[in-house]
Amino acid sequence: MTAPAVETVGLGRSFGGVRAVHDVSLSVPVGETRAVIGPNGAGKTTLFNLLSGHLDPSTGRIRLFGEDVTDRPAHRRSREGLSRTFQLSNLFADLTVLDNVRLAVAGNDPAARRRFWQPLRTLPRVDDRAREVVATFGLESVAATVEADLAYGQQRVLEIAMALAGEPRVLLLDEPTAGVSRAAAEVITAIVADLPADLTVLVVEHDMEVAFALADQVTVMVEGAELVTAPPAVVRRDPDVIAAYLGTAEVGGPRDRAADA
Amino acid sequence: MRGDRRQPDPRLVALAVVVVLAVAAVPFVASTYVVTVALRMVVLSLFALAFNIVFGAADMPSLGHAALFGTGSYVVGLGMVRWDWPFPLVVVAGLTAGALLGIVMGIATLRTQGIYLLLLTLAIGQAVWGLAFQQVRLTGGDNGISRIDRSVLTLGTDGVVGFYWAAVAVVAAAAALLYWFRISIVGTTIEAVGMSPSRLRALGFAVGSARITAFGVSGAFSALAGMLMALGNRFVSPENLAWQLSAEVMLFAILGGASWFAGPVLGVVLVIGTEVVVKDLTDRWPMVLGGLYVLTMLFLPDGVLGALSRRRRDSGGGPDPQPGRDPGPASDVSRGRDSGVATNTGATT
Amino acid sequence: MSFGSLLFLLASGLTLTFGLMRTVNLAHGAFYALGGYIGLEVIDRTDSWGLGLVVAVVVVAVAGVVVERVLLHRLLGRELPQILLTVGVAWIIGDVILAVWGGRPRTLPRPPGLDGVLRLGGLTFPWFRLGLVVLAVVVFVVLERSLATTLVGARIRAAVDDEETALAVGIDVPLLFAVTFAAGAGLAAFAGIWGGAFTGLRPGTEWDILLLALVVVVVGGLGSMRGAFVAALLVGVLDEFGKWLFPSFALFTLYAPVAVLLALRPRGLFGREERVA
Repeated sequence: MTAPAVETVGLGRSFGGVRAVHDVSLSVPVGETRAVIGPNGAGKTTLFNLLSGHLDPSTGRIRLFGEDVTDRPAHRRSREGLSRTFQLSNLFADLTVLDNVRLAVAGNDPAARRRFWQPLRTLPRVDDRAREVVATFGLESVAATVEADLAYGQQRVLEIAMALAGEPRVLLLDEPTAGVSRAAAEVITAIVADLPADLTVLVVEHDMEVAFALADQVTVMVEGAELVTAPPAVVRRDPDVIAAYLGTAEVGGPRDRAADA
Repeated sequence: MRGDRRQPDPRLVALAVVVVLAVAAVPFVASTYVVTVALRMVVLSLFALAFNIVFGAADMPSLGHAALFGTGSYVVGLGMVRWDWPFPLVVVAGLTAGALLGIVMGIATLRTQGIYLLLLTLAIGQAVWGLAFQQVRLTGGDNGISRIDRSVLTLGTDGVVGFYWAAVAVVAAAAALLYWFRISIVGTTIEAVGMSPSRLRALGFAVGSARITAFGVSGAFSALAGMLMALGNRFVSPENLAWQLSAEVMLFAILGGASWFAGPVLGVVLVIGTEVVVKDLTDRWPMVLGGLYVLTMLFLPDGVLGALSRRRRDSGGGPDPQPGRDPGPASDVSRGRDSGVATNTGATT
Repeated sequence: MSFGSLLFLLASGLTLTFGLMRTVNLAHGAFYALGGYIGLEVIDRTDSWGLGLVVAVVVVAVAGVVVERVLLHRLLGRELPQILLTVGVAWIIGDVILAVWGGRPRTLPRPPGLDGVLRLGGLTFPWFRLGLVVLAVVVFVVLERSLATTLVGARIRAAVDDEETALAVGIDVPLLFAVTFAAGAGLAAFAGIWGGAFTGLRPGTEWDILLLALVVVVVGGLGSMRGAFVAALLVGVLDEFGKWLFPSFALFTLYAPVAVLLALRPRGLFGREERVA
């Protein structure tokens, strides 16, 4: 049996007295799309920060494809094939779309990183791949536009494009459709649905419809701990999950987009 | 740096060449006094450009950069007057010392940012200044080291004008190198550190290395500027290490526009130009300098270039830049171009 | 000990403004010097030390209010522009002092009644220095308690954290900030009257003093009154120690350990863990 793509063992993180993530043991098989849902403050983004290495755990271990990466810094995990997007816009605001993607490609290309003194656009392999990615995501018309000048939906698409530019093995998507228009959300959902089958994807989503539509399995988190992990249909009917959401919104109902800030 | 400057705009390159030629032509059209002022501007421009790698690009507000500048000056003073080193050795030693001190500062500041980084770099700068100030036997203390002999360079640089041209040539070459550095992969990485270190990490780049590299390169070029200053003045003193110089180079960068490569140079010209004019009229230059600080922070936080750029945008030169940092809902409404998400139009760049 | 006490008096104003308003006021040294010179002027004309003290503190406090309301408030929350703006204010005040009072070094008279010494079992303690120590302790206790326990302290901290909400709740934010800044400036002037008697006044004092105050505040931890107290004493000792043991390294032995401490522990001895953006 092959090792799971992403595995955590008793993962936990506290801030002072607050346990943001508590004793989470996940196992995500290779190629699965796993949605992570839960009410606000459930610790979903903290979990992602722990997985990507942007935050150090207080307890527990993290394994990627069987290898323990708990002590590895974020940039090394990225080079191992872990990629992510962020919940809040984390832009390279002054760089053009094309340069953003070139940087993303170069980040996972050791040969490019070795040629560090060369101007960014002169490495043909990097350039070709960057243009390919830009085309794939329909961003050619804004390739020369500075990222800060893009519409918000385009920025979110660019983020996903950059996360995929390095051909990762594991992709963490932190609320990819948050704050975008309905049309943009549909495009992004389509992109995620079209991802390669062997790519392992973890998605944090507030929009239940999107989460249930995309996911092979759903992990529900409440107050930093894992409540249940099961296929969408099961989770939908789980009484504990419904109870956890009482007072916030119905499980699986349409949500007011404008409220997702 | 703003805009698509991965590709040097040919118009800007032409402009740069014109500027360099105009600067070189100063001795033909102005008095020796003006040449000395121009020399000061040229040398400080290099310092400001070097500083901006750490400040404008990497967004690290260093208030200790005078230590890097002054290190170059003191290597010249010590090497040429006290220790009688051959000039090539002095140059190598100066650049290396600047780079090394820069690397030390980069490592020391890895875990700090914002005001804490500012105060830490200030402390480091003051420690270096304190050394120079009080090691009187070595450095001459407050009196500094004088009678630096330029004739050793044997390039006709003994005279003011001769040295001026040598300085212009060196600074122009250094500026070109710095520009190339900024558009290289490592330079772009450094800028990305200034914009979003967490995203840069997520892409596979080591943020710490980028920061240290920024400080190291900035240190070497700052020291080069310091060396030129010492050779130009034939004199070095703790003033070359004073924190007031660190604050002033930050003013140069902010006033000109730290987001543009050449912004700091504009800042140098504005401040030093004002200084020369004011000092001719009154003793109250410190008051005017203080006023410059106050007015810049209040009215020109993006610098002159920033204000000009905003004016161009407002008068229909282009779309308003979105702040892009607050993911406000529904902010991706069409602005007359593509709706929400760009569709595949098949057009290529 | 007494130099450390003076340092604390000086640093307390800086700590007050940073701790409550997150403003680093680099004009603090200039306020110190201005207070000293104004006090000197009044004492020269009226022969009253007490009047000199009062006038100096009041005038400088008012100047502080003006700076805060007219200039600084527009930059609320933007730390670097605030810092550089106060640098500019310091340059201006320093030059005004030079223009008005000239470049000759001056010394303020000691408070009447604190001349002379106390003799205790063979040791002599100058009353002035003892007075400084007592004063420092009193100021520390007053400030520490009033900040931590009073409603005013809580209101100010609320206003800094979230100005809009504070306003909505009815806290008079502009008044609070003005008062806090005035208090900080006033404390600087107060320290200037004492320090001007201890170490004198001359051109450049405003920067020398500022650097020392910064060292104390940063080592103690920005915003921590307790930290400022401890750090002031430490720095006072270190300064004496360095001058005595390594005279030609004195400045270095002051700044280098500070740099090392900050590199390893950016928040200083007692500072709060900063929320990383």
